[in-house]
Amino acid sequence: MLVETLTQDNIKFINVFGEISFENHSEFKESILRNILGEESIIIFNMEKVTYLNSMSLGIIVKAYSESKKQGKKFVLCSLQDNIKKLFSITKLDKIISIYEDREEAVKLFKG
Amino acid sequence: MVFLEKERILKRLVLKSDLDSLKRIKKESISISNKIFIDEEKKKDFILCIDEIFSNCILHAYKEEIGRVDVKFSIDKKYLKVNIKDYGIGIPIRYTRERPKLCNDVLCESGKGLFIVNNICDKLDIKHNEVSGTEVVIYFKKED
Repeated sequence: MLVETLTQDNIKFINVFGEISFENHSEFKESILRNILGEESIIIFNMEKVTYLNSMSLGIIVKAYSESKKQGKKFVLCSLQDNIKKLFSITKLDKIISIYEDREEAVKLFKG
Repeated sequence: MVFLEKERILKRLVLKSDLDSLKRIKKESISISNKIFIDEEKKKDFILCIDEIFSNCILHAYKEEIGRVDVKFSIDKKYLKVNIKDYGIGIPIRYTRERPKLCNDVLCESGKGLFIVNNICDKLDIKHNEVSGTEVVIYFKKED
């Protein structure tokens, strides 16, 4: 698993590559919670290259969302693969956390 | 007269409730699902279910200790079945009596694993062992 970040116009993009599972969940948690800090008020978590996710990883994303919200930030997801979109739907997290088809759609909405 | 569907055992494993065993069981699941299923989504669902149940054994069955987990993959006329059995403290009894539910707070950070499994497999049985521990049986319908 690899986590990359990029900041552009008050938006922080967090791009994750690979599988997020029990084996690397501590590393993922530490990385994402560190990366939601900072001055940007919008965080777009790009999951295009996330190939696998389990409930533990979902819990970490939920925590990142909740912590972002506490800091007055917007935390959204984009580019979910179908198997992962399904998990967000089953757990009803897609009713709470905004999910966009792709990065461009997410950025367009924030830029108005 | 009732004919019992013959069950054929594909693989039996005696494992420990640790990460190395989790990696091993995921590898075995990939191998078996590739032999039994064609649909890629089904294969992913199968692997995820086993990951979730085995992870629960690591996290909950033996508290901070490491214990034994028996896994059996089998097929019958209708299903690919996986039995995951630990000898630990036993799952809270409500899980053996009713379908897993989502916690009231959608944003709770844990406790979604069994609910996910119940929603993506075709059948799920959860029972206490006679002496101690829990056995979870996951069923996936074989493709036509």
